[in-house]
Amino acid sequence: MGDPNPMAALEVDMARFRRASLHSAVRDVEEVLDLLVQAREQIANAPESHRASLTMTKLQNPVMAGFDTINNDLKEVSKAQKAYGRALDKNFPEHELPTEHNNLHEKWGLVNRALALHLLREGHFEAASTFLGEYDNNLPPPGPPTPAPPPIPTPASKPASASPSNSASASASASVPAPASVPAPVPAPAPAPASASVSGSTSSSSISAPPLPPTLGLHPERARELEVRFKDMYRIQGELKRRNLEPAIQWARANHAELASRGSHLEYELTKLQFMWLYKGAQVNGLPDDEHNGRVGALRHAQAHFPAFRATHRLEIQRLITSLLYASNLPASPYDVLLAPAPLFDEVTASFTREFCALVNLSAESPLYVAATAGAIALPRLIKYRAYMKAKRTEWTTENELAFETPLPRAMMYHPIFVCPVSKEPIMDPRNPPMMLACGHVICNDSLNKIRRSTRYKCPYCPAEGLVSETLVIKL
Amino acid sequence: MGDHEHSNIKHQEHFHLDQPLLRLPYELLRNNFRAAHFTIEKESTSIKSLLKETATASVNGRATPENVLKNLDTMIAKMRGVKRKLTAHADEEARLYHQSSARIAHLGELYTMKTYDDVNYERWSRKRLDRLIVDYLLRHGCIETARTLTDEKGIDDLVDIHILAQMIKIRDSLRGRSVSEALAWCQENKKELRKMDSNLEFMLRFQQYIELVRTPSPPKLLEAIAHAKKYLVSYKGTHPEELRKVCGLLAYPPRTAGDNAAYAELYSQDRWNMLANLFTETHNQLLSLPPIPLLHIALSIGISALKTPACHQHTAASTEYTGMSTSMQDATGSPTRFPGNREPFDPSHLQRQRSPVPVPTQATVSSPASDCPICSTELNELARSVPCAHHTKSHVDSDLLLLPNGNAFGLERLVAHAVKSGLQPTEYVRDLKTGEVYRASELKKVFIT
Repeated sequence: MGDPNPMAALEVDMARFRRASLHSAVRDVEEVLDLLVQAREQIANAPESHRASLTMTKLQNPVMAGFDTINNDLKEVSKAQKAYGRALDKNFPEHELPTEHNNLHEKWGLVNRALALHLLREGHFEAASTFLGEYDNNLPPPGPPTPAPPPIPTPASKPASASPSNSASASASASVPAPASVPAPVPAPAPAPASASVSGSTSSSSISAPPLPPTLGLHPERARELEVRFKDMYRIQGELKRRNLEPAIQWARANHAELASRGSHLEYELTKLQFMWLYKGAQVNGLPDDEHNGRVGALRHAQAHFPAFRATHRLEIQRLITSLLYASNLPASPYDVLLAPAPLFDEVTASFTREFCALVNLSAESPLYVAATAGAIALPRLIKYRAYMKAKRTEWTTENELAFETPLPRAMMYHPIFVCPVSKEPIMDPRNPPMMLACGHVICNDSLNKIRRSTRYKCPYCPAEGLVSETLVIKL
Repeated sequence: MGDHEHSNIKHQEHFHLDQPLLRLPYELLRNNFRAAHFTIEKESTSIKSLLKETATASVNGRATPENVLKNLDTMIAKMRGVKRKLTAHADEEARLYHQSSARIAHLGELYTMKTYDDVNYERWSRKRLDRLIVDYLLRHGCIETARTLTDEKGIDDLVDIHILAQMIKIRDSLRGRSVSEALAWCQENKKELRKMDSNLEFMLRFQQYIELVRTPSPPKLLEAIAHAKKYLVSYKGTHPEELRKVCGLLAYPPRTAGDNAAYAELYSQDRWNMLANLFTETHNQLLSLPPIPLLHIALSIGISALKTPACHQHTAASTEYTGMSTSMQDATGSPTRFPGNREPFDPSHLQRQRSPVPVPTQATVSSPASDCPICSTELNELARSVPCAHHTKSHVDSDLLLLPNGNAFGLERLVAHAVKSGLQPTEYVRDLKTGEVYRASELKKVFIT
């Protein structure tokens, strides 16, 4: 979509403020001030009544004019602001955000945990540790204005209050129970943290509650461990960026068993890339020009490390070794493409990150990032749908499935989705699997049973006919 | 599959989450201007009239030069006060202009990108996430974390730490049973609050009254009555019901209020949380801030858009992806139906033939599903009660091929996996889930419509 950039229009209106700002009013205030000060000096220097009267009479008009100028300055500022406001309304129209049906505030413990993990994995270690410390001192947020039943049971019975989730945010000194859904909270080793900003001690009716459980579900030990691990990851990534494969290779060797059980080829990929990198020689790779570098170095490297991968990668290893024979005439040989390491570094870095995260049980991309981005992409659909339902004066509730489509880019589809082209329903139930007809078209089993004529069927998408017994269950 | 249109950024629609980014500084600009205007209005009237009076008195001989000097000093002092206040407003204005410009530039950057696959989009979107996180942290009172992250990311112009930190301070003071900070805020925003029909100030004054009545000693009660006369009686028109309670409360000291639920409720300490929430709500409304963190809005719809029923079929998924033996049966229990002489090609035979070391046979490749954010530790539990996405079209790998065991994969992934496994993809391919090896000639094309 070739949208014109409305931000350019806003910038134009912004520029008006440079001419009309309160600073010009300040300058004009100074002028009036100067008039007053001058008059004062004149009178102080010659304190005679008639002179004072004269000075004061003369002062009238310039001061009045000065105040008029100041008022004009303000008018200009006001005009510019109004123009900008109009431009904002036009180029950046307001849309009401959907805040109902949002139950995330009930699950603040889980959101916080996801956030803490996000900060750790993205390398914001300082922010992460600040968060882990600060979070304890803060109460859950106030709920949205729409009334909802308090989602979290309070340790003691308290009168229901006007606003939701109050029970959770109730009393400052009363601690908050972990949401039931947080997996296995570890008992806090520390005593109940003092509420920093709240003078809980003055409360007469506050109920003493058990010590605060770590609602983050992220034990400080685990957080520290993750921090150490991720620091290591960023270090190795940094080295990879500098084209230094050694730390990554060492890591892969150290985690050989785990990687193998995941069926990862990372160790081989790194070893292969190292071979290719050494092959390039000192002029390209900048490593010391000795017997461990260049073609000789590559051969040594191959002899030392390739045998371990003979079983899995024999073919490629054969080609890599053979390429040494063509070294003098590489560009003309079929091995040239094989030995272009540049794109491989990025690939190997991505693959390293993925494997590293997998070994600490995390996915390669921050789920928080993906979900928030998907949210920004899907939000317009939700807003449109809400407006539509409002216009029709229909209440809507979300149950198991959204009532509208939220198309995402291909990269954000993680599971294959099969929607039967006949019944138009998404097929998930293993009792109603997708069936491939002899012609290759796929419909769900229920639909097949509907269109079959005893033992035969006619494909709804092409002229082919076939036997029901020859259709195949497929798994996507 | 033609989902290319879904990769294109729809710029105009993409800023729903970013509305407060420009709206808030605009509201603040207007507030700032109003305050500046008020200062000038007030002081200029008094200075002008004093000037006129002094001049007239001086001409009429009623004022000595000393009197004139004294009056001039008053005027100069006032004018200096105006200058000081106005300079502060002008500086604030400059800061807000600068901030708005930076934000406009940040939003404008999006127009340089066409698709969501653009690497710059990821950078932009990460920045947006950082903004949302800072907003979330501030609303939860984690001000230090918000500052640390802001500094680390250099997004000072894109977040509103100052304004939200101030909000949190007042909110917390209410939770700590102090109304003065909130009342001062009401004073600053008197006009706008009146326009909004806000009852915040009344509720705060009412609470002050309740606190006075709470201590049943005669001087306190007299003070309470004086307070009611001064601050509460004027609300008779708008809050008649509450005013009746104000009077009635005198007859119900905390000791005996237990008999009457309506009055007992007034003595409840929970009212402080109610006030804190009322303040937050009013504050956010006044500044066009959404009532809940933007991160919640984004995550809630984002999780739904990503979620498929498969995301919570974990037990099934994990057996599928790890530790499968080579002879995997149809998950439904019924053996996959292959007509004719379809003996599965024996992969172990192939392995023996090709190498002495057995090839690992488990889940060999991280499938896209293993990157699914909804299946992740972080979000899985959070996603449990959220609805799934709605799909009317199939989304599967392109060039889908069926293996004899019933599994289907895209050509590209099959070839890549075969190469990685040391197979010639023109001859053999290997199942990405089970590790079984099949002849390429056994593959069948699948057409998903």
